[in-house]
Amino acid sequence: MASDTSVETLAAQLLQAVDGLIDWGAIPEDVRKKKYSIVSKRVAGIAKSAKSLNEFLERFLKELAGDALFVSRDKAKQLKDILDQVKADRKREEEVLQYIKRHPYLSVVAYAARIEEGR
Amino acid sequence: MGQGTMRVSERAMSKEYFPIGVLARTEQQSKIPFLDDLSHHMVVVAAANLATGSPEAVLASLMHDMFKGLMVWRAGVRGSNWLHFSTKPGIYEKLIPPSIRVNAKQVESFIQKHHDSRDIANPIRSVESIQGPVTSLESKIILDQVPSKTKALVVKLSGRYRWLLAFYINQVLKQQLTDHYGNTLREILAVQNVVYHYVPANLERGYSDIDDCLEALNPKALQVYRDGDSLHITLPVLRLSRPMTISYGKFNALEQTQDSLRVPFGEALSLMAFDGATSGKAKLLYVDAGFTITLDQSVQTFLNKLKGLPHIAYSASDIARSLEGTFRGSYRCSFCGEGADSKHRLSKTSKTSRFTSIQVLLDSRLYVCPTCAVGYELEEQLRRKQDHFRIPMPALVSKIRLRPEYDELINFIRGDNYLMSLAGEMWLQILSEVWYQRYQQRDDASYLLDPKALMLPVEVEFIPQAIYPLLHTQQKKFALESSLASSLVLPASVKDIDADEFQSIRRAYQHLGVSADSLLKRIKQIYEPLYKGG
Repeated sequence: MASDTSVETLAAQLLQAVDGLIDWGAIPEDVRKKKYSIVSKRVAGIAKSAKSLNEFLERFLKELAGDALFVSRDKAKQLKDILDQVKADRKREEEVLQYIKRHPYLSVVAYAARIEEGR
Repeated sequence: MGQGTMRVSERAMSKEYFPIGVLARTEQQSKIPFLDDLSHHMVVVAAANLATGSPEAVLASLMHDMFKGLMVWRAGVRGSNWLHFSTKPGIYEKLIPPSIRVNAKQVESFIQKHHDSRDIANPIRSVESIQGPVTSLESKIILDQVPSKTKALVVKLSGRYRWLLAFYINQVLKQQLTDHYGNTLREILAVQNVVYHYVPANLERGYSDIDDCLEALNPKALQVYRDGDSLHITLPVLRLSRPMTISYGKFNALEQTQDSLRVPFGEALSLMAFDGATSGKAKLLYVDAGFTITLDQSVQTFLNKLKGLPHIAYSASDIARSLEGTFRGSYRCSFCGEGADSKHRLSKTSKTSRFTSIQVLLDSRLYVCPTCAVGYELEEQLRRKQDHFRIPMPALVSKIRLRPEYDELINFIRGDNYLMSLAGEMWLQILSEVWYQRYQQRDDASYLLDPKALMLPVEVEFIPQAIYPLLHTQQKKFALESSLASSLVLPASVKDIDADEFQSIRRAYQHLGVSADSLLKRIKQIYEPLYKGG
């Protein structure tokens, strides 16, 4: 159940799932080094004007990946599963969006820490 | 989830609770706790009693609540009472060795009567019952009055350079206070440090009678002795998991190890308190121990320590008057608007830097008040060193909660209610300072993200706070902080970590189940804190 998981964790899981779709290996090393710093500023900018979680994710994904995206079935399923989990409860969905809007930098800190720990 | 649960229980035993202590007191009627550490409370009372010149009054103050950690509570007509002293003859007298030259009977009498309203001359009672540092409730905003048993230096903070100089004067004052308190204590009691040892009481159960409790207690848990220039006092604590030492004395700086804390007297017994945003004044308050330090003395000591500062056309006394806002000049200072009498030559860098005022750009010699003249030159000096400064402010308390091990003993501490005294604010300032030191040492990420202090029987969740009078980034020359209400945890390039953000970070740490180390590493990477210590 979505309500069993904290809003912090759901926000981090969502951003992490989007991050997982990006082929970071194809991105120049100097950009990759500042990856989280750049991503956090993007999240802050996009979240500010996003009216729904879907809109936010779509624009965030586009910002990172450009127009075309080649993804494995597994990675896509990961994003879909977590999104379904959040959207199962409309109140929760709104809470997650508001959390990312209020705490864009912290949301990125959280997902970056999760990735570092191999979660 | 299982892993997460395990980590939480491990955390409960970790270093994150440093520094440990015992709640100093509760309010007499409501029993709402005053947040202050027991050892600190006794040192504050003793410092106020240095003015009496009586070794007995000072030693009695340093020992008067030493049984509080035994948590002996008894239901009374007006609610529960915290029994913390024994009236049994000889109980204190026998603790005091002959090497401490006092009238031990007199010390015992002071302690045993410190709640006796008939003993009107009792020195402990006289400090605890007046509106002084121990009971004064309004501590952040001190209006016209200086609370009893305290003294104050007044500084006017109407401009950025005033903050910078006030910061330095505060540092100097603390050093001067440390020396004065240490010397006065040595004259009276032949020691200059007081070391409190919090030790586990190792009692199998809680007691409701203090003498029964003391009888069951291992005598080694109760000791008072002198070792060189230090006085040692043990404070037994029921259900304490590990020993801890807190020392107060003539130390150069606050120092900590895993289980010990050394606090200079000047840090423990002084506080920068604000009058509020409108007057822009602050008071550098300190416990009145019978000596007086004037602003002139602090300014002179500071100037003596300064090296390489260009000539300033004002005297130390002018600077002191200016800092307190009473210097009358024929002109207005171009930086702060206070009285000024002399023009000051500005450096070329002031003109060429990206953030300069039009006034500075058009004229290389401006009327500048004594404070800003020193502040300006200090800034010029510091610019080359690329340094940041912080003034630790009393930590904010975000939550208090009764520890579960005291649940069946104490039934009246519920919820988040607490009272704050001036002395408590001084202790909260130490908590902030401890946090910043550990941040600087990159020590114990879990403590940094979720700082708590044990003041048994409660745990206190707190948020460290500091003012940064001097900041710089690669883009900005300086962002000097002149607002009175601008305490931050950490200023940062991307987003400042204020109290709200800090609480969100704490909550994220509590819920995410990721390690504190990786979270802290990413916070530093993404927020880009400007203050990295040093």
